[in-house]
Amino acid sequence: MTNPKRPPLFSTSYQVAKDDVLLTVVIGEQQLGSSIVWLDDNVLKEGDVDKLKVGKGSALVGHRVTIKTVVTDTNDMTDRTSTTIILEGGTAPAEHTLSVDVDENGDSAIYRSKVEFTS
Amino acid sequence: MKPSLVLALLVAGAGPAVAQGTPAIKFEDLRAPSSPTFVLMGIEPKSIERPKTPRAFVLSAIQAARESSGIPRNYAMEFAPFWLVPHPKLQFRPDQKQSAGATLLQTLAFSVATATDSGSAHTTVGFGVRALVARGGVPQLARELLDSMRTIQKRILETDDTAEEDRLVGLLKPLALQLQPILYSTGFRFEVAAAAMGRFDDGEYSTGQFSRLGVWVTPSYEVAHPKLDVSGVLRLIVNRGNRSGSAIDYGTRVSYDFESLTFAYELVGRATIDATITTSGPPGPTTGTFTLNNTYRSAGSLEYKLGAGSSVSFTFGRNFTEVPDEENLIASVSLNLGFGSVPLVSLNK
Repeated sequence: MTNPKRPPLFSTSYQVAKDDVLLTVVIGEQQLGSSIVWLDDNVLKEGDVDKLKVGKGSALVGHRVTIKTVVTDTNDMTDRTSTTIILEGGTAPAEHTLSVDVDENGDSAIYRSKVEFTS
Repeated sequence: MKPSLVLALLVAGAGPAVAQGTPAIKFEDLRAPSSPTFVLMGIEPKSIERPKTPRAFVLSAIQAARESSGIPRNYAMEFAPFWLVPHPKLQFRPDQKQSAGATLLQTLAFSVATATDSGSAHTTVGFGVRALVARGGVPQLARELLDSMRTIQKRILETDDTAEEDRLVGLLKPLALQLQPILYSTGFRFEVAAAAMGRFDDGEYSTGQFSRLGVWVTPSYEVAHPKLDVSGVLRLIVNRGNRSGSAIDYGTRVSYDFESLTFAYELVGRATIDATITTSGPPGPTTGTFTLNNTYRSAGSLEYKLGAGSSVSFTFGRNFTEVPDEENLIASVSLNLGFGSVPLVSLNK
């Protein structure tokens, strides 16, 4: 049995503004994947995450979002997996791509990310 | 040896199925192969380089050239240019209609191989390309596999236990491997492949000569309800040099599933051309022979599934006739117990 690839926890911060903060998680390389998003300890969304409203910028300061994504290599043209976290609504949009190659077809990768909101 | 027999050997490549003169080529053998270079050359490389990045691609090519100090020997590489670079925004959208251009770009794959027989000074070099122009749709079985995989992924997301994650990931792999070959297997598919090979003597580039070309075109259309599959094949093989003779195979196959029964009919035509031209230097005379043979295979079959992977089938029809007066009746009853087909009664030549 092949254990999943587990890239190190990705941590970042995001400077909020007055607007709603929107979160998108893109699973690239035409691979099958899914995500779960927590705001502090509460599940915000599970499945596809596309422009998810996390909350008002001012209300998010001091809070954090945790994202766990599992990607399975179903694309027989590549063993590359990736996930891109896109944050909008703050002082500037931010985008972070994480990528890892699994060993062979059918293997999986599990990504974990953390975003702290700052003023 | 008669020209038509020579062609029978050449057309089918190096496969043992044709070694006794009469080609035992099946319709499936004429489909566009996934590795056209290796099929054309009649080789099965022990290891195939599959670079995943531009850097790996360049390093592999340099390494092969260095080790051989010239034309690499017994080297095989396959690569898909589109996937050499990352596509972090390209999402999995199996139900999204995709243009022919995008499908072609994403499935375009090249293969390169060299082969040197032990004790021989000849090196054969081949290049090939394959692609899908229409990738087809997602069949019901693939949808069910995707649903199962999504359910397991959901459970992975909901657990914090690493051992449980590992266990669940282990359940995903067989489903993914089952999914990959059937993901886009219904609806309209159009596959194309081509390969060419040449021969070099004594590792000398200047001795190179083109020896063989193959082109495959395979359109197919599959309907889920009723389960109907219509496929076409077109295969062109052109031989030069020591291997004279060229052939075109073209045909269609229709199959229809009704409960435990599968009805199928295939009609495949073959035109073989054997031309030998001899010149004694310009402006000297030119002499040669030209032989054109036409033949076809027409066969129907009925298969009854007994369950647990076993089946019994009856096939009747006419086989290719490469030699005049050759027996060409196909009449066989076979039993398949899941370990391969066992002929019970066979007049299949």
